[in-house]
Amino acid sequence: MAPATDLRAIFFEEAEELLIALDAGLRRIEGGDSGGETVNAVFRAVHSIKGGAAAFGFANLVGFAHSFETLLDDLRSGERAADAVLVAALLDASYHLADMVHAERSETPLDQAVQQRAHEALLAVQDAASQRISIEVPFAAVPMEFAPLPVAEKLFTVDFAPHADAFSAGHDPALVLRDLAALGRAEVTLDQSALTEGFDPSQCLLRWRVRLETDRDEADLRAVFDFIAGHCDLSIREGGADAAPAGREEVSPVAEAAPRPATPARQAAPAETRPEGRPEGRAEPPAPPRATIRVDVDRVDRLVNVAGELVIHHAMLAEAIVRSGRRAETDVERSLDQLKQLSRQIQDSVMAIRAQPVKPLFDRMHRILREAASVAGKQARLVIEGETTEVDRTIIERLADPLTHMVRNAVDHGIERPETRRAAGKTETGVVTIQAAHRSGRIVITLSDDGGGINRDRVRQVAVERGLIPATAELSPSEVDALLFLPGFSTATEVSSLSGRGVGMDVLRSEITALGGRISIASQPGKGTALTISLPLTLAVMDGMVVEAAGQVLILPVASIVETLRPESGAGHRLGAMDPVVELRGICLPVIDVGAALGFRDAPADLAGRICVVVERDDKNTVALLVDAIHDQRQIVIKSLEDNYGHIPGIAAATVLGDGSVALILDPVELLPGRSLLKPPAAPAPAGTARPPIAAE
Amino acid sequence: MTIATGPLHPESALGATTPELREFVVFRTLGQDFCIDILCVREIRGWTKPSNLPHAPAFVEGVINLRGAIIPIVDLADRLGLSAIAEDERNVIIVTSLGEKVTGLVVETVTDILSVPAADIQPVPDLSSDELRAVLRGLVVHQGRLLRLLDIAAILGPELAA
Amino acid sequence: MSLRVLAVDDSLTMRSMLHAALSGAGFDVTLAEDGLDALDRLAEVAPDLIVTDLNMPRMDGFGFIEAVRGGDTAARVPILILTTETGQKLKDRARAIGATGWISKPFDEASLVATIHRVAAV
Repeated sequence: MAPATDLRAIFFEEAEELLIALDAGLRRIEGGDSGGETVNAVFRAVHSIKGGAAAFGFANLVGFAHSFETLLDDLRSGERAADAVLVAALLDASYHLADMVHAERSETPLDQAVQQRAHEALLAVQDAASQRISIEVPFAAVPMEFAPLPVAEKLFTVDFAPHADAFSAGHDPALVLRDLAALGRAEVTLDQSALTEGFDPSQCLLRWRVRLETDRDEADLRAVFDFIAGHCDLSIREGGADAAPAGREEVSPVAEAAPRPATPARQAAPAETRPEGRPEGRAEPPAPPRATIRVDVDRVDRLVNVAGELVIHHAMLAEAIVRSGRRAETDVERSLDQLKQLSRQIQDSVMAIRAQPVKPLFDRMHRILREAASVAGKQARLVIEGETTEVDRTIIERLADPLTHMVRNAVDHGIERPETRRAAGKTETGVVTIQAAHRSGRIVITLSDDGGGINRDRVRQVAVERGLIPATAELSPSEVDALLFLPGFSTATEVSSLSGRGVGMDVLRSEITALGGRISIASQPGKGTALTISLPLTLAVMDGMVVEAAGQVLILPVASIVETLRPESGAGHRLGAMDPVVELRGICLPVIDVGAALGFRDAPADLAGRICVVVERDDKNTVALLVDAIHDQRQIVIKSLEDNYGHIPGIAAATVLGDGSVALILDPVELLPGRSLLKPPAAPAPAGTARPPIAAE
Repeated sequence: MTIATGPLHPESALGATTPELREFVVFRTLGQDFCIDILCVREIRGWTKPSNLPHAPAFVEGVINLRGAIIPIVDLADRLGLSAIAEDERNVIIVTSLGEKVTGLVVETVTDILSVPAADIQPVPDLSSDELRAVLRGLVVHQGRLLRLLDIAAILGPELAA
Repeated sequence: MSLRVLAVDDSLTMRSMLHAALSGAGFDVTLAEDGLDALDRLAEVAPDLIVTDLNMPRMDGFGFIEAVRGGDTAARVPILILTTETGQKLKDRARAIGATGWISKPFDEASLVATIHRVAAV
């Protein structure tokens, strides 16, 4: 039997899903869809949370969910319309419900006062509703009457003899008789012959015979007895009392084991007998859902690891074969190729298992936005695009915090107050848009607002005040914007209750960097600000180019590589004393010697004999990385350096090579030395730079 | 006694009749004898050439692959401010775990696994330099050898990662 | 041979709890996620007893009970309703369409098992 903690975990996991379904349903209702199935789904979500919570004894949660459910029931039954007041109350209730679930999960009780307020708010909406209903009632209840179907009435004789233990099993024969009588005209005869003087009143010793004239069929009659079927002898036959049951012994007072509900096979219940108003039924089965299974995440992760090891061991095997000189044998070669294909397919399939759409993550931002707006006294709505874009679940999980910060920032610092917006000729409600898309092997998420844009003068001023830049510094607009990412920079003159939680852009940036991602900012005064983050699709595998620099084997992510070139002797120019550049089709690219950037050696004087790998940064700036040799290009398994060590600037992660040794994966953007603030030659777009352009020395 | 209590050895639960025994892995590097609590030690393995790590402190030799996990390798002698030991295939790596983090310590040789009554662990004399005191938990005299009991947490503390 | 129980509930939590409780009591348990799912499994499972939730997507407990009672695979199999609902109207309706018993959630494991034994032993 599963220990209770497992069940708890299941409950909380399911509750998360239900909360997401609840949120999505409420927003459909908000959008004007108060169709039956939408409301039902919302109702069921709350109902299921309540049911589970009850099982674990979360009394507060049950109580709140119950009130929530009651309100939803009004909506479901059509007693209330989904007006703005109700929808707002339902959304608030759903947020509070989520908080309550999280509080139970983390075993940190919510503030009693907060709980009480939320519950009272919910009840207040309900009361308002019931008052209104009571006013409208005089016009409401129109009894529905159906003309009785012209069905010939039949006469049944029912012999009903509860077992002696029927009372103790909780049955009341009187209720059964009442139900039976409700089916038609009944004539009941009581047989009390078994009653003797001094009988035991706890034993049921009475027997009844009922003559029933009804238009219902035998099955309907039997149904009445279903609850008590195990505790009575029952005989139902068509016709008067004289119509003795041929060969049936059910009336026998000494019936052995009581019969099972001894219904003769029923006729298929015709659809018309369904109670009205319930559309469910077999007649119109919805499209069958795609078969899915639920798998423990740990199991998938184990599979991902094993698949990764498979890729590594394929590489090891290939190297061993090369060393043994048998590579030339075509059988070996072919098998090895097939093995490579297969292990890659396994890897891809396993990764596909972990890929999830960003939708649930994005959907959570509705609440963040709503709360941030209400605290800031602003009006904003969220628009989501590309929510079906899939990305590895490990990335989704770790994106939640950064995205939350971005949404709050957009509301706090981006969207203007309604009156300001009106004065600027904008709609009072600001729009925050989150978009996701796949772009060259990465997922790109853009969060933009239609607010006032970055106040560059103010940013400059703060940066100078804090000594981050000299007062005389000449910065392009995008460079000014990028100042926001400097550690400790914050333009918030007043600390709002939301973004005052110490979430600066520098924190955001390091959160994204820790995921192997980049963040950039772009802003247009008066029009708005856009933050773009770009992330690897998975934290598990990537295509890498195996290069060598200063005697070290290193990996460059293929996704970032534009091309490679072999500079001729003297091709490198130097600007000033330090910065070499190389010319590529008329454009000068800054050159960074990988070995030197990592501190393994001094930068070589001549580029000749080495190789330039031209890499593109997310903001379309290109640089040339100088390496000594290119060995290979292959799929590599990404291993964290941070698990056991920590982040190294310029290094994204590590991998294990075919010989079992470790190779570091370069992060081309972080490799750029701070001073490469050389104006990007052909970059008119004010896309902003991913790195703080100026070191905070 | 000023010795910090490490994770208790299971046997210590047996009661007062058995003196509390602590088990240590004893090793030698740069001619000096050390020991660490066996509960911090995951395994002891032969030497593997690490891959260099950029921007790392000198005592971090690099990283190796330990069954799919990337773990840093620290030259213990260098970390203790002695001097780096010579690269030698006969060196051994003591794989230690501290919390979630796994780190390999390179030493010259592992000599012993030792059970010592907790009461036999002596405090670090006040004479020692602060630097040394910071990484020592105590001293154990065993068969005429002076074993320095190292505090793994202090050695692999937050300053390890640059 | 152990008693075959088909347990129908749309909540994973409830399914897990039912599975734990019922298989712990020695029943052979099959789980279904809603009425339609349960109907699909009916012939294959041939349950001795059915425990079902009421409020479920696609096909609710009422629809399911009607379909079972109206079909011929399991028309006579006892059906226990397990629900948080308490309304008398719903109980009456359940009885009218052929439910055998009504158990309120949260259920007490021992009494659920006892009820099943009692109902199934008939």
